Amino acid sequence: MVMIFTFTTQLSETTQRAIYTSTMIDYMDQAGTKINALVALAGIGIDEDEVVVTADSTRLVFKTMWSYDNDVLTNAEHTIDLSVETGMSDLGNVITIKQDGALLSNPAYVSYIDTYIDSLKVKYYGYILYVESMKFEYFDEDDNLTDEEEDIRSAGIELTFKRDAVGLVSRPLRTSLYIRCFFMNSYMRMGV
Amino acid sequence: MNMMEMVLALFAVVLFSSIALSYNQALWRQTDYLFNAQLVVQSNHLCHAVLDEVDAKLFSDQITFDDIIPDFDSTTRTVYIDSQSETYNLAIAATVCDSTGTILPSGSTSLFRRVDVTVSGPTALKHPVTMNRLYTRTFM
Repeated sequence: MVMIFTFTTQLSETTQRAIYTSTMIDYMDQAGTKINALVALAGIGIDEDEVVVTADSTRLVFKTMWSYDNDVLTNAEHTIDLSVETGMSDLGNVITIKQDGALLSNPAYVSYIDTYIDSLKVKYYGYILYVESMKFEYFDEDDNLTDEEEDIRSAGIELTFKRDAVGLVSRPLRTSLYIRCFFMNSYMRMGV
Repeated sequence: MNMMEMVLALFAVVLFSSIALSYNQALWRQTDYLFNAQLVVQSNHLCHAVLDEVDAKLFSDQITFDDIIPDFDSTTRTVYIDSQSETYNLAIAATVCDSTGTILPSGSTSLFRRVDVTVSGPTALKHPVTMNRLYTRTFM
């Protein structure tokens, strides 16, 4: 009986970890692709040394004339704010992407959270979920590390995801991904 | 319990243990594949980063089309990712190719260059990951 109990418990836990890990890997890949797509359109219509407004180790703010909300080129400057916020969701920390102070709702760049308010299901857009941390490092045109906003031409982003699987709350699953995003429009401007 | 019952009980234990072991082995193999999948995703992003760097430097005129091979061919890089405690080795090859990406003999006249990035390193990465991109001469 002890053997059967131990076997089934272990089987159940390992299966759960496998299922949750596979979804996390997929989610992590999608999140990396979304952030890369976001940064690729930074700086459209902006001088290359004015693209980055704030370059912290946990937050990136940049300017562009591309509107991510409906994926069109506009004649107005937009400010995009990429940062991690805590306490926004029961699912862990979230990455918020704001355009001119409002959360983005375009699913090409963000996921959404289903939340219940008075039994009504409400979708909260503007998040990348299951995040534990996001760390930025910045590079100049010669790939040297820099923290001078006007010199930044690419960003290295280290994303760590954390998820509590059902029955494994005390042993969360962690995955991480490092991506390098180039401010392509800044490079194009340099070549003009 | 007579001898026959004892033997049957023993067989039952052996049978159950064998089933348990084979299930466990299959699950651990599955876990291994998942870990490999995670490393493949990371390797893909590292390949993309190098290929994007070539694009970016062409855009900015830091390099010209003719510099792709001398600047990138047979170069290697090492990337250590702190959060994973893993070291990835990148091998870059740049070659002359035709419009379909077929490699041509060195020195051939062509409007196309192909850059291949191969990532290896972590023990759990079962096979090296390779990605390539074609670059076209646009100003003549």
